[in-house]
Amino acid sequence: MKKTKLGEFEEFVLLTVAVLQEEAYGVEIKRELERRLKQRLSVGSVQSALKRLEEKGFLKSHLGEATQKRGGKRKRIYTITKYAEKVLAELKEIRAGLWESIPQLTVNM
Amino acid sequence: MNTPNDIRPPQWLLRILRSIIRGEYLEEIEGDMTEVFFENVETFGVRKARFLFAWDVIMLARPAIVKRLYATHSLTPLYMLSNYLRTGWRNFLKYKSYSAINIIGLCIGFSASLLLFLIVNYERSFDKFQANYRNIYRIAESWPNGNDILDQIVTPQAPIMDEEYPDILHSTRFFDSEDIIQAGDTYLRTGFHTVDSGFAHLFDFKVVSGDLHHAVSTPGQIALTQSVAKKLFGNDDPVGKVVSLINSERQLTVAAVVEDPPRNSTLQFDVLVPWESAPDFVKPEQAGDWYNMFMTAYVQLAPGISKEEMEQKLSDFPGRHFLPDRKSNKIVLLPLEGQHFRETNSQRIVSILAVIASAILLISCINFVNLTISQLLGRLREIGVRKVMGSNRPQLVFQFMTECLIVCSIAVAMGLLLTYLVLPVVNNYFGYGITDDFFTNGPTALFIVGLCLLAGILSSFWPSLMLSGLRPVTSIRGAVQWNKSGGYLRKGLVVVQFAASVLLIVGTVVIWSQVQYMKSQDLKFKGDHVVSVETWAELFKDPERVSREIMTFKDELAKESAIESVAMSQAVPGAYWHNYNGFVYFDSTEKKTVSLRQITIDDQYFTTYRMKIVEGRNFSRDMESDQKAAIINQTAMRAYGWNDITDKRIQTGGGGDFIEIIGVVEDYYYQSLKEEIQPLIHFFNPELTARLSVRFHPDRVAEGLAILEKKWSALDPYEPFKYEFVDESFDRLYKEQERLGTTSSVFACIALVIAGMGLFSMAAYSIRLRKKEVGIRRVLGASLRSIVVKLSSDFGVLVIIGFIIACPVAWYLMNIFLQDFTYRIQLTPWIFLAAGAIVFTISMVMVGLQSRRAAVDNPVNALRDE
Repeated sequence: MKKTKLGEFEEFVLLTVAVLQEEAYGVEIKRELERRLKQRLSVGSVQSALKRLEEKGFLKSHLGEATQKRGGKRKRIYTITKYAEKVLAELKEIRAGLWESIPQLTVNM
Repeated sequence: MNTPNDIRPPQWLLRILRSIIRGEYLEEIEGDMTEVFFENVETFGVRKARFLFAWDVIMLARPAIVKRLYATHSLTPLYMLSNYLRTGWRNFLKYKSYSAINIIGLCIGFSASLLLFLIVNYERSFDKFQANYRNIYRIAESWPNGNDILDQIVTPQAPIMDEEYPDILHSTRFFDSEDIIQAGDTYLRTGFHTVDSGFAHLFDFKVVSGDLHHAVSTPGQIALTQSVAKKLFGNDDPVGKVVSLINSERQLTVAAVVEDPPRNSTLQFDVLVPWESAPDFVKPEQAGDWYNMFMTAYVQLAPGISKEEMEQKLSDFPGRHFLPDRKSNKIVLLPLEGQHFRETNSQRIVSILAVIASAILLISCINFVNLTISQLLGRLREIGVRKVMGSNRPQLVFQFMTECLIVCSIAVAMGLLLTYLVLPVVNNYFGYGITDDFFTNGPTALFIVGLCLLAGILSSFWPSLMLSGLRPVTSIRGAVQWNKSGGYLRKGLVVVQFAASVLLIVGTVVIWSQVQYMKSQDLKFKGDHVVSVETWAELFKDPERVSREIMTFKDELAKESAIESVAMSQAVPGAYWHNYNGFVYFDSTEKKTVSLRQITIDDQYFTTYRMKIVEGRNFSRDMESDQKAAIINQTAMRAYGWNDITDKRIQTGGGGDFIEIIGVVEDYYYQSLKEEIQPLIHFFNPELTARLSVRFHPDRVAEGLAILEKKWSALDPYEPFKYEFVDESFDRLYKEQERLGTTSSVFACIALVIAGMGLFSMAAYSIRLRKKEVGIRRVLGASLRSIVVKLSSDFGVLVIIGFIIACPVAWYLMNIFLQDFTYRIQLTPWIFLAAGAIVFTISMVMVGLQSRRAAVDNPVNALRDE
């Protein structure tokens, strides 16, 4: 657990990639996140998070097809690594454990 | 999507995007940006989409996606800087002696040229602190026949000019005299200047307290300088207090205290008195009105009017006001700016110093280049290895230039320190007030920074460019063949260096010989063993008593056995007053006016100074009529065109009694030999009290001085006994030239040392290149001597070429210098040959030592090759 430094935004991006599956490329990830977070994101913020995640070994990528609306540029499709799956699961588990340990809130919910 | 084809993301933003995004991410991110843009066009319209695109481009500037500053494949200079510094430092230590020579040479060269720059700058700064210095002129006069310009004018001239010509904004006379000033119990002998109210308009002397305008325009007021105020009143504010001028019999109220005039002011004064309170002797009726010229005056012209225009306007002035014999004279305006150079005659000195400064700087820079190359030569392998490892040429140039600049900066820092330490000595020697505010003074700071960069960049750029251009293979093998042009350039530099050295040495020798020539001239009078003491009656507490007793006093002194003779005169040779008068001689047919310099003496004067009366007779105390007679010098006789002096009478331009010429004295030099002897007239006044000249018995000078002091002090003076030897004070006229001589010889030595160091390293360098050759020659049986001669001869040729180039330049410059002197030495070839010999010897010793070292070395060391 110690080595996985995953920021909040990075975690969102990672989860979005997992959600989108084959559709997980830059603009789609941005669109999905904007919908869920209800705020505008810049291309740069998403892209830099993606690059950081890839460097840390949470994501791998391959180039996809080029389209006309992308000015003939190919998209890069991201998929999460086994390691990322493990880390995400661990995080969820820790969070769940913590939630369960808060008595009042559990009641309120 | 139905996006029209002409809608595209702004191209210039895309270009920015492409330039900042890391290459491997570019395609994806550019695609994403484009896709988002078209989506935004659909949602928000083109305008907003463009704006959002721009915003997104800005937001792309994130460390994870922009290009890396420190990419491994393109090392930027900064990244390698620490490596360069380390290598540089190691080399510095490895060749300690070279490095030291390099730094010391540059340090001395820099310091020397900085000092000279400061001197030149200071000399040029005279009177520039006056805000209106460009419009201020000293009034002078020129005669129609001669080129002589006399900067003394008649007393009433300036105020009338001021009144008549609207273009003259203000004017002031500036008349120098002396008095004893008294405040309470304090008596102080001080110079005082009588000025007009315009003085406060013309000049910007800083007022400490009170009001200078009021002080110089209101009768009964006086302005003091700070130092006089301090001597009289201590730390109290003197404004409003009353002081007395004892001899002028004036009671004056202090109205202002001004700062002492700065050293770089040609106007120097202690006390200022308004014209209305002037002593009686400057009043028109006593001051020779329109014929006696001894007044100094300045005018300030309206802005925009030139000296020539004003002189043209003034051309009608002499006709309307001057006495008949001077009506055709012209009024001339001398700019205040040039006053200092006119007084000290130092313009040429300053130019010479500037030339020396440039020469030294040139020599040091050339030296630096040569030494840098020698040093880099030991690093050929490093250069090769660096190239093999992927350094490119700009990087190598940058590396070496960094090193050179650092060495330069160290040298400059040391040079600054050295200058700082030497400056007090220079100030003392030249009597300058140069401050050490190197960096707050604009031009000086600029000079330092400029010099540092110039020396560093110029001297390192070329060698580093040359060495970095070598092929790695050759440089690693150490087998370097210089291309021809490089060799010529280096040789050219050495030639220039030696030409400059020869020039400096010739200059030094010429200046010294000229000074010695002037000092050793027969002055036609003898000032040795003669002291002069100021004995004006006004300097004593009871002036009447002194005037009464002066004849007895002189006679008593003359009776002493240690004293040979005693004379009294207005001034002594070397310090004659600038007091001129036109004297008219009425021939049978025409009248002839000659402007004569005047001096009043007694009957013992010519005897005391061993001056020869060549015609007629000396003054005599016993002849009452001699007080209306005069003795002229030979130049004056020639000026009148006389063959003898029988029945020759002259009259002052203002009329008055006829003066009989009773004698002619041989032309003696009463001023520096730089100037020509002017026509001179001696008047006789046996009861004069002025400057006492006492000739002692050559072996009993000390005894005579003691007697003189005792007798003089018995007259009850205000100030203690002070004397000077006339020959010594006359020699002081050559102070400027002697200073120049010393300065240029010191700096010529410095230049020679630096040039010698450069040659030394050059020799070391080229001999190292020929190490193998020397080894082979030795093995094949060449003698030590033949090898030394062979190696040295190359340099000998360079030195000789330098000498040949320097000679005409030196000859030309020295001729210009000598034109300043009326009585001057001839330039002989010996001076040039001597300078050449000095330079040749020094350089041959340097080269010879190096060659000998290479020649005596065991040939095995040179030939072994691993």
